[in-house]
Amino acid sequence: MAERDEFVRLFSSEIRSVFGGLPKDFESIQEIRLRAGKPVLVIYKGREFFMTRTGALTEEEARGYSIGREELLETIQHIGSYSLYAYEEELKQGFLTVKGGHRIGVAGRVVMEGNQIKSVKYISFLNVRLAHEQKGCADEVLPYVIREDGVCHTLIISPPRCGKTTLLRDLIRQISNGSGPLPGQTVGVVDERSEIAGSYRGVPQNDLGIRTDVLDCCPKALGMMMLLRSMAPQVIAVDELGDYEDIHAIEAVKNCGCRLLATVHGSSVEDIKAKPLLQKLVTEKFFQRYVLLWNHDRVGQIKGIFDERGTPLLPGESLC
Amino acid sequence: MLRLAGFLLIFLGCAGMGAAAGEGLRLRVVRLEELRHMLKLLSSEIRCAHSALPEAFARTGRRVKRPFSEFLLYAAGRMEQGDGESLPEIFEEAVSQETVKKALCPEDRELLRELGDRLGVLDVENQLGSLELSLQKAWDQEKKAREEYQNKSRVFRYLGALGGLFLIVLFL
Repeated sequence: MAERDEFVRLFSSEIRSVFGGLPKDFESIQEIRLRAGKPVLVIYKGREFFMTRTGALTEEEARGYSIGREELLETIQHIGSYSLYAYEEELKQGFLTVKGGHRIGVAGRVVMEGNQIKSVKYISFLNVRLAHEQKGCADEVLPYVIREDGVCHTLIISPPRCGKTTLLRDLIRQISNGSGPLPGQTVGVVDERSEIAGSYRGVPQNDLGIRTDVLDCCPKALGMMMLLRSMAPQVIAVDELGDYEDIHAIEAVKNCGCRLLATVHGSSVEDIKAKPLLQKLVTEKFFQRYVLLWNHDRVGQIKGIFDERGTPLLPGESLC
Repeated sequence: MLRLAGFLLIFLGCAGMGAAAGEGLRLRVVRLEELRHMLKLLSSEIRCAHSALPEAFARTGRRVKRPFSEFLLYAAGRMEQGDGESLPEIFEEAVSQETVKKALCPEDRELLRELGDRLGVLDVENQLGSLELSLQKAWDQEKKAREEYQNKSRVFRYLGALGGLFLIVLFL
């Protein structure tokens, strides 16, 4: 309840009164989209609904509550604590993270400085992604990613919105705290887009375990090197591999004896092999475990777990 | 004997009033110095840490003296609450607190109120520019207040003493 109240206070006074009617199971709300002059959209239990004037959810667009520009501006003021300047670096990436770990994506008029994005002004679109921890969602996966000698280099492969970050978060937590035969490990997290820890003013809003250190809003490659130099991690976790620099940093991680947990967009191991940057890592069998996710029946559903040779480890699955 | 005691009291009372008026001028100088100190601390918070205003105000509020600590902590609290007020409205409320009104003259309160119109907009450079402008104004006001103190405090003390003597002569 307190979490819900804290979330609602992010919005303008007009919208707060409307949100009073939102579903009580706050945990099932995944996204809220605000667009100036357009109806408010809510992603609830994986489905899209319009929000009415009373906060109820409907599939009828005509009953949707449209948000005015002034309400959006007031909301932005609250979200930015009257200090959007303090979020300059995050705004360049197109988002900011608020208390509770919720991520607010912004769109509007981009201000350029040479070839670099300086800022976003005339913000007219907000995408509020609610952070919901799913403690225990890694229970099924964890036995396959740990061995006698420690944690396996693991790559979580998933299309967008299938729960890869949620799974990574819970894996980090369980590995950090220790689970079953595995003692607690020191985990370093490079949270480039503040999605894993959802840090607010440097404090993770999600539970990542008692032995976890977080570099927030730091580029992955630089962050991995910093962690290796200063925080002595046993495991490093990053989200959404894909840049050339990331691959170089991974070599350093490998040479230091550190284990890597990472995620990548894709729908199969073959998909990953087709990506030029990751192809080398796959063919050299760097990753010892591949965890494939999809949302066939529900978000975060495990499609398969494979070893470095592509041998399925879950019964009834094949390499795909 | 009683009369003598009465004259002494009258003299001391009037001299005291003169000294108090001079002390008021001195206190204004001290408060403007503290105001400049507050503005410099706020600038550092924003320049070095890019702190959001509630955070910058709260941290600075714990490091400055009254009434500025009260002004900053009140404003920080209202910003955190997020009740839908604009920044100028919050500053107006903060400046109107009794303790702030008693300690600062209208001109100095106006300097604080103006900050609310300028902060929170655009980028870090703009915040620092606004604080620099207020710092310059505070410095100008402090110079004037210091001159006034130097010129007038002695006059007030003498006027107080002379006024007391005048009353004594009247009663005689």
